Amino acid sequence: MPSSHTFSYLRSALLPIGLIAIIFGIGARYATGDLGVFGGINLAIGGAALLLSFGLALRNFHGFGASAARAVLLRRVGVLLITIFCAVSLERGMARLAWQWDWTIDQRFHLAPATLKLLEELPDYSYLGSVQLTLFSHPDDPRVRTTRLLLETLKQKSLEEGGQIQVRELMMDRAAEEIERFEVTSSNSVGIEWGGYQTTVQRPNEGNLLEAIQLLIPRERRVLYIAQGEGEGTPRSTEPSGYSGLWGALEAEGYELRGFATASFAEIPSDARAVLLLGPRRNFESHSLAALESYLAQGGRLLALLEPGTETGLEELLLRVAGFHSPSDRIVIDPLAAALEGQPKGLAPLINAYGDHPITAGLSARTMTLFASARPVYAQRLPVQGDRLFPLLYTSPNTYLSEDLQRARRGGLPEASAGEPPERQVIGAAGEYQRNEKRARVVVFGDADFASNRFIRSLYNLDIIVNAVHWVAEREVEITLRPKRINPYQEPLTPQDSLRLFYTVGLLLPELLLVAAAITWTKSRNA
Amino acid sequence: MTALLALLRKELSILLRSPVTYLTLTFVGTVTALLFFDYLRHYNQLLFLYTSNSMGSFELGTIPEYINLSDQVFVPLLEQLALTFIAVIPLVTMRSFAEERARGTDELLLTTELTPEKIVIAKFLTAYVFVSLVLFTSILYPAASMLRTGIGLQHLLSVYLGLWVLGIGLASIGLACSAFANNQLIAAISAYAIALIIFDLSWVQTFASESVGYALIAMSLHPHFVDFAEGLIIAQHLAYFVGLAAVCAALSRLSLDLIRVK
Repeated sequence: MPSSHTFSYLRSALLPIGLIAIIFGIGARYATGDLGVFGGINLAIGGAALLLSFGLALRNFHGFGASAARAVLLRRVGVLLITIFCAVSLERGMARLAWQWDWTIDQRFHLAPATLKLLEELPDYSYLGSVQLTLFSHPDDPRVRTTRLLLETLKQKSLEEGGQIQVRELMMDRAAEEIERFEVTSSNSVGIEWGGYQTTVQRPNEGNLLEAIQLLIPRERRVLYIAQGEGEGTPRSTEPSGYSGLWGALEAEGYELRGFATASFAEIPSDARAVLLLGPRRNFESHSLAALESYLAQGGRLLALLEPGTETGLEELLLRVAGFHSPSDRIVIDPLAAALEGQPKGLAPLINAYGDHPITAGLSARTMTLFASARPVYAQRLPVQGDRLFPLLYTSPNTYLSEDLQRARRGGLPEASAGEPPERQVIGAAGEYQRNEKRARVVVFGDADFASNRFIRSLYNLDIIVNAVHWVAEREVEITLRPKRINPYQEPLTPQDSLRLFYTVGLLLPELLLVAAAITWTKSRNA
Repeated sequence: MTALLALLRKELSILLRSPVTYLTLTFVGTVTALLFFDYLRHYNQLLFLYTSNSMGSFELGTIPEYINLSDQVFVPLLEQLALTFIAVIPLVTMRSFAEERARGTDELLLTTELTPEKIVIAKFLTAYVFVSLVLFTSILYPAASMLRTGIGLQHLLSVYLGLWVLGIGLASIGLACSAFANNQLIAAISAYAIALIIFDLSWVQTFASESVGYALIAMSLHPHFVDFAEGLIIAQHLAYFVGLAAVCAALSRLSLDLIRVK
């Protein structure tokens, strides 16, 4: 029979052995991503050693002494249990409240007004059931974390509106059937399923998810006609100068887009909700202009994006019918504007002053829009008493107008035209006209590039152009601000910068700390 | 209050006069610098590969979004720092209660006008000061680089708030282990074992039922820490670490009564 001393020794030895085995067992799992034989055996040995040590401790246990001592301990154990209860309740309570603060530079977990609006609308389609979002993930994919948080944020917000969004996560290696069904090709994809329809978003962010869900909303599609044939930008082109981004965004917002050659049309189709002119560069045929005039006279709706330096014949029509004067031989110069690639400084005005109008709702000095080069758009005259004209976009007070377009094209900064003092210029305006008991609407921007693929995702450009379309098409209720994402930093830190930091902060600080350790040690030895 | 402050001053003085403290800080500072430099080198290589002809000459701006300074350098560095904290913090917390017990000064302390609660509070606050010092030495290098590259001050603070609360949690576990252990070695290895076990219990999900798996994840440190790295402050995670610290403090307080009863 082993002595009590042996038992005591065994107990003391088994405790560290068990703990060390567990440390190495779990450590192996973290290091390799799999428990494996080594980890499993260590965990088993560790668990057994700890149990044995605990058993031996119980064997030597002789109670808690006097009743007064037991009372003290019982009270203390009671406090411990209450603390555990409070801690768990606090954590669960906070989980239910779902309070969170987004400290990312691009506010990526702060849902945009457009997303919140969609979440509010979803209960209207409750007959279609919940929107099921499925995140396909791989444990080693770091991008999944952000997407998971975004989906959870969407789910939490939707709970406030009636809980129309359900979220689930499937591991890529365990969901072959679902992967095939959603045609998922990589981790960090989100499958969306709603009302019998499904779609997959391969690079999920708030904007992409919003557009994908919007496309599934069963609603009446309103037809927009996009004029072609007079040098306009190509609507479906994915080139930087094309307008496929605008096309996709308008489709997501519930429009059906159709192109039409202005030269072959004697009149605008009757199902047109609005006509879009995306930077025409040649003169319109007279019958095309007549068709547009007739369309507007019958309460038509027109959105015209005009490029500086291009005379199209529209200028005269817009002045006569809509009251806008947009001289094609003038260009807006803002000396403080930064240079865009391939352009001199000053040609790309950054707009942060907006007129009071539904199109600019929500835009302020902090929500800017960027124009590549622009011509002025003046609200010159009221064609008919009772018509209403609204300036929309104001440049900075330092802006001046120039007629030296040739110099701008050669890459130089044009000088101010004589008698043109620096002042705010208007480069976008809207008008509303009562015609034949119908309401005609016209919006004119002095630039077309700002809505092209190259610039549409810059700052709030997408919002201003899509909101302008909504207003022209009399869908003010859809006007909102869409999700934004700041492009991540993708520049290398130069080796010189890295080394400088490494020597100063990376090595100098530890060296100083080591010196401090040596001094402390010497002091304590001499004390 | 005066007695508590005196004890706190004494504990801090011991902490700052100990060469182990500076050695630990040196270790953390050096590991952070080396890891950061290595991740940065890897990130620069990736960028070089993507912009070189062999990968199709991506223009800057068209490189996949996940190749950015935050995802390639910052987040993995913090994951590594979290593991470094597990290695380092128990080394300092192990002596807190266990050393007093080994020297017999714990009984002396209990006979002063200090209540056991004040002793526990002073020990915990000292450990938290140490965690803050560790954090300070590890923040300088990433901060100096990151602030130059537009990740944003708030995001940086969020990340370090996450590391700080993780450090608080690990220090609390270490102190509770020290309070129950008879010697420093057992205090340290039991703190390592507990910290590693509860660091991430998501792997147990494979064997356990869904509800048990969910409960185990809710108990883990990692899921409550990692969202801070994404720049998101979630009240639930803060509550978890506050609760963990409170439970560890209550356990430490219980250990003092156990000693008295023995």
